[in-house]
Amino acid sequence: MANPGGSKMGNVILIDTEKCSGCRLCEVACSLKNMKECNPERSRIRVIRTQNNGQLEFVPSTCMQCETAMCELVCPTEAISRDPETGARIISASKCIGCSACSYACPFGAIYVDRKLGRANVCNQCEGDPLCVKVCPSGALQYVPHDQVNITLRRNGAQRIVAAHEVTIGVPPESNHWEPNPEPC
Amino acid sequence: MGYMRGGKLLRIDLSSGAIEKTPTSDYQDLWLGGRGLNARILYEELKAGTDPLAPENVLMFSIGPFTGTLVPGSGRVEVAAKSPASGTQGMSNMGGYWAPEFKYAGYDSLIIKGKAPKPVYLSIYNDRVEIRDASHLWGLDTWQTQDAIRKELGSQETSVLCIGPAGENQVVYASIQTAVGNAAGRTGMGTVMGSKNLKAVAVRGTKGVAIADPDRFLALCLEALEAQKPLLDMARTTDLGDNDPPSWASVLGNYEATEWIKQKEFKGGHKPFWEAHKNRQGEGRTGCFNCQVRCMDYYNLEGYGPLVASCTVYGAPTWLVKNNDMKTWYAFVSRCQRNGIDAQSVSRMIAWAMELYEQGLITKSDTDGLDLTWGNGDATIQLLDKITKREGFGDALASHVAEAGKKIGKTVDEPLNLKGVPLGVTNVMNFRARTIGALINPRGTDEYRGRMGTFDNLGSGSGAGHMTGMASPDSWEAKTAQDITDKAMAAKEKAGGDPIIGQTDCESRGELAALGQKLITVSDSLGQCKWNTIFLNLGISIEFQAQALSAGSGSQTDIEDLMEAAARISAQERAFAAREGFTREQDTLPKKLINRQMPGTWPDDKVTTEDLEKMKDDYYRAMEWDVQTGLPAIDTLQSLKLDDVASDLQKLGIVNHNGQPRGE
Repeated sequence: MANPGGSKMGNVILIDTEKCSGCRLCEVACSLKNMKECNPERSRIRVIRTQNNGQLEFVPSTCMQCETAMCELVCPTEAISRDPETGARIISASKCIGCSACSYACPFGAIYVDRKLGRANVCNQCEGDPLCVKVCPSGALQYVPHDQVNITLRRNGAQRIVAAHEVTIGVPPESNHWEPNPEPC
Repeated sequence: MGYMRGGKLLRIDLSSGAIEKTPTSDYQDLWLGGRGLNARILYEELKAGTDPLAPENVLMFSIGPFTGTLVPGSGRVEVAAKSPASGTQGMSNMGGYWAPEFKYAGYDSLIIKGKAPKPVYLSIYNDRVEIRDASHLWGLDTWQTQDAIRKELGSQETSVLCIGPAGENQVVYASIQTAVGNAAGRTGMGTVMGSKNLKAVAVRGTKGVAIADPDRFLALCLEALEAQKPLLDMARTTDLGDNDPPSWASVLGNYEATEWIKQKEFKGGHKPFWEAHKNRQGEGRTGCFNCQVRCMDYYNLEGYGPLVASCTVYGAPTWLVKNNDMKTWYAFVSRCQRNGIDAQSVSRMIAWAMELYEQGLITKSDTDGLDLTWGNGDATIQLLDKITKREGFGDALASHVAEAGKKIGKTVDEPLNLKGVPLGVTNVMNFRARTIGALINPRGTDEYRGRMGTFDNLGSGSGAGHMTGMASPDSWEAKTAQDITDKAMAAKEKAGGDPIIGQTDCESRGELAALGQKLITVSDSLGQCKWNTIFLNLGISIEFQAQALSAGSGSQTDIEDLMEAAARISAQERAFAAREGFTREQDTLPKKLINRQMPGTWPDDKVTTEDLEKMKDDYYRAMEWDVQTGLPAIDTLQSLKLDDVASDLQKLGIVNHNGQPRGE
């Protein structure tokens, strides 16, 4: 079932790509906590980093907690279910055959087959206390109740509009006032 | 593969094309990693007297046990080779994302010898190592090169370090660049890379780092990250309201920054620059792998393209060349990054030319018609491009500091330099802790390898417990430093004087520099960004380093072990220098800066030869080196398990036993 009981529970890791500074602390922390080694390749969250003639883009990528989860729908062994407490997807170690169907089906590629485990691996929100969010220094990752996702996104969008407006009208001249800092840092 | 190690040293001979892998375990117990591996292997495999630009020079990229782990600031690689600028070991530490990728590929050190018959680049993907043709990349800038290689290899995840046109053209102070704005800038490591016809090293690794006690290691790192959080603003040198680089540099007594601010004839001082800067269209902050400090500003200015700037590049193309124009600054820094040239060195060389021009010692007939009036932005950029291409007047400035004057056919003072490397932007006077740091920095250039920033003001009596506002008073580092200072203050008082040790006093500074030099060596060797440490009061302590190394490697290491390794590495670096003819004589300031009064915060102060020699004596003594020569004594080398080095130096007749007269 894609959406057991209409999902009245659960938090979501909300991603604000504009805040991400690309440090990859989330990847290292996730792999250390969950896979017991420092290895971004085995992290359940990745930062997709692009560099194009000096221009940088960073996009964190992890499980979005889909209501209709393609990974769950395509799984041939019904190994994927939803944690009733957190809403995170859980993979049954005994059922999963590591076929990668989930990985192909996920719109974000956020689930993968770990060759050391021999089965699929996906973010389980560290059972309700996601470490990636805790270590993120830039505020690009937030852990929010699912009913706060949309208003948070709208607020982020509104802030961008306000910021764009400020650039257009310019900063008042008083704010340029400069005095030397009397104390050495 | 051992815990916390890639496990192998990757050895490439570009002349023959031979690729060899040897175990890191041959070295790791005595040398920690990073800077330690470089020091030992260069000493063993690079003959004294080698021409830095000959195929026989050895270029090394080494990482440490912390690289690629959750230790804050674990994204750094230590680069070394014999430097074309200093004539001894060059060294530069670079951040970005290359180092962890190299670890994940299964290596701890890349050792490059020989010279490729034509331009090449290295491609490393885990165990697969290839030397590939780079003819089509030669001439590309460092951003284009990275993009082209990633495209060619079909992997956006590949991390690339490379040289730009300046390295290809053998500008003496060419840099190696990675990502955007990360550079091994100082001491001409890009020049050495260019001399080997090596354009780039691309690496992709997927193996990860094994940790002996993952739960304990995780807990330690999380605790360290948390403890760092309230301190993070220390690194925000550039966007903290009124706290801008020229004003803090001036407050700290940097005479060049002060001169620049005070002299209104330079288009009204620094204010126009800074106001433009405060309104800059910076897009935010970025930094290196696994670091929450993120000390760099990321810009994408319309018409000028992207730029990543950390604190020192705010100083070089501003107060060194007395430039007030934001757009000149921006164009200058992005050109340095794209063309692979050290922004500090090249600014110092241009400043030298401008000073000669202002004094009338050179004219337009020497400068290819450029008007080198202080602060002429267009001429600054044009000269930068000429230097990169080694074209006309630029060729002279692209040369070694001792050659530059000769090339323009004038008898003039050398550009300001330390051990042959153009002097950086920071102040090496007034604060004697910085002065001694600059004197004894094994690479020359600046004071960054011989001084802990937080110790600068010890003994001045200001702030709690005599520490500056920057220090972490409960740390082992602070307590040890305080102990040194307390003794010096007591001795001063006993001699009937004022116990206070002000920033322009010399007492205790030599001993503190020895402590600082060892602490910095520990970080550079473990693969830890030293900016994350108490160096800048960013919290990471040697106590944490010892605990993290113990938990991660499964082998108990304590602070004393790390300090002993650092003493060994310092002695090894010094032995390399000794073999190249260096003694305490080369540990000095440019003549122009001795006995010079500067219009800074302490206009009456001047650094005297007596100051320098006293602090050097104290430093060598604290390092247990011979005071007469400034070189490691035989007994010290032996106690550090460097019997072979002791006997080498003994054969050359350049070391003494301890117990000789030591200048007391």
